[in-house]
Amino acid sequence: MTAYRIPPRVAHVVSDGEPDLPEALFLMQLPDGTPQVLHGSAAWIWLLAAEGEEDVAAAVAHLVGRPRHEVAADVESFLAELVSRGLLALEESPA
Amino acid sequence: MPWSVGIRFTHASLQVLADDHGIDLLHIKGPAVDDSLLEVQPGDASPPDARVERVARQSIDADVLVRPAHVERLLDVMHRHGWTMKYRFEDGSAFEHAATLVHPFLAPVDVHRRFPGMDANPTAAFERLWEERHVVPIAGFDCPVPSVTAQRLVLVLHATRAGRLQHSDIQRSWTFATDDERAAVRRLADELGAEVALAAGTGRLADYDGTRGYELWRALSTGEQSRVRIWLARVKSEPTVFGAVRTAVRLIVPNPRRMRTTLGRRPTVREVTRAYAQRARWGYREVARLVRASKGASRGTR
Repeated sequence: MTAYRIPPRVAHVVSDGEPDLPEALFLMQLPDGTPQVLHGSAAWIWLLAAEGEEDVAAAVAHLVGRPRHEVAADVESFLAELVSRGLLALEESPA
Repeated sequence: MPWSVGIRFTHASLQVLADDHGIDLLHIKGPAVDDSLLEVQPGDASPPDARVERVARQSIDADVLVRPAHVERLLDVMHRHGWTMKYRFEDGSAFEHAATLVHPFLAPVDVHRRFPGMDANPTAAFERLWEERHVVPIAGFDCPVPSVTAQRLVLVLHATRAGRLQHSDIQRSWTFATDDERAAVRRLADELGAEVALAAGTGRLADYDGTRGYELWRALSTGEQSRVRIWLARVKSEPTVFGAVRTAVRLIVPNPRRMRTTLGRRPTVREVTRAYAQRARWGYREVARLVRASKGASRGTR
């Protein structure tokens, strides 16, 4: 399993009034990045990863009521994309 | 992007710039306000009053208060990161307390170098607020904010300046506060030279009749419509002759930068000249009306 964290300069705001299962999440690399928005399951994936969930695919599968193997590839691919765009960082494993 | 999100990103972005460049700033109003001072509404839990929800404040811009010695540095850094000046300090309110900067996609920000109503030396006032700061997360970033007591004072002064004495900010910050909380606000106001403005917002202005600032805060808190009355009160409230003359001149001459914003382009010499003439006529009419009103009042009181 891979652990993630929020990069030091990424600001994040969950859309108002939806603290539990937000429909939209706004991200911005400070101070000069362009704001990005993640909708629906993309927002949930970022939030789960940012909160330290180690098996994000399993958590997403639970949220959407599907078996883990059906969503795992898409979730892992999206997580990799978030990391490559600097919107998530890989947590260093303890030595 | 929703406006409320842009405001949060603005606060966080400024904090990053402040951290990077050793700039002290306090985030005020908007998302920086303590939860205990927010409006509450019944939640959707059952029974209905079992849970309340805090209502986020609606703002049109972000507000920060900067250590006066760091203002120029902050503005310089902001300019290097895409911010442009919309209104300079001297273009803003009669208090010249804030400059407004705008950004291509973030919410505008009012950079305060002092807070209207706090007449203490701005550097000393900032230091007093700074020493009791704490941090709150805005867009995930730790942003320094004044103490809750100072936030109460700021909200009361802000509503009072706008003549909104029934504003819910005053109710939550003062009316519904405990005796101890009010006493703490009064003590802080005394230290910051804000006792007259606080009194104006909390129904005790008569206690300060005859003191400097009384007429200004009476005019502001009662929603005085006559610009000349406010102008006169503002001039009278200046502690020095130089300040009074400067304020008098500044308030009566037209402001080319504001004209530029209104027109959407640089005003022509002819337009500025016409504005001067209009201001002069306006000033004459208002003063004449004031004189007539004061004569009528004098006859009525005999």
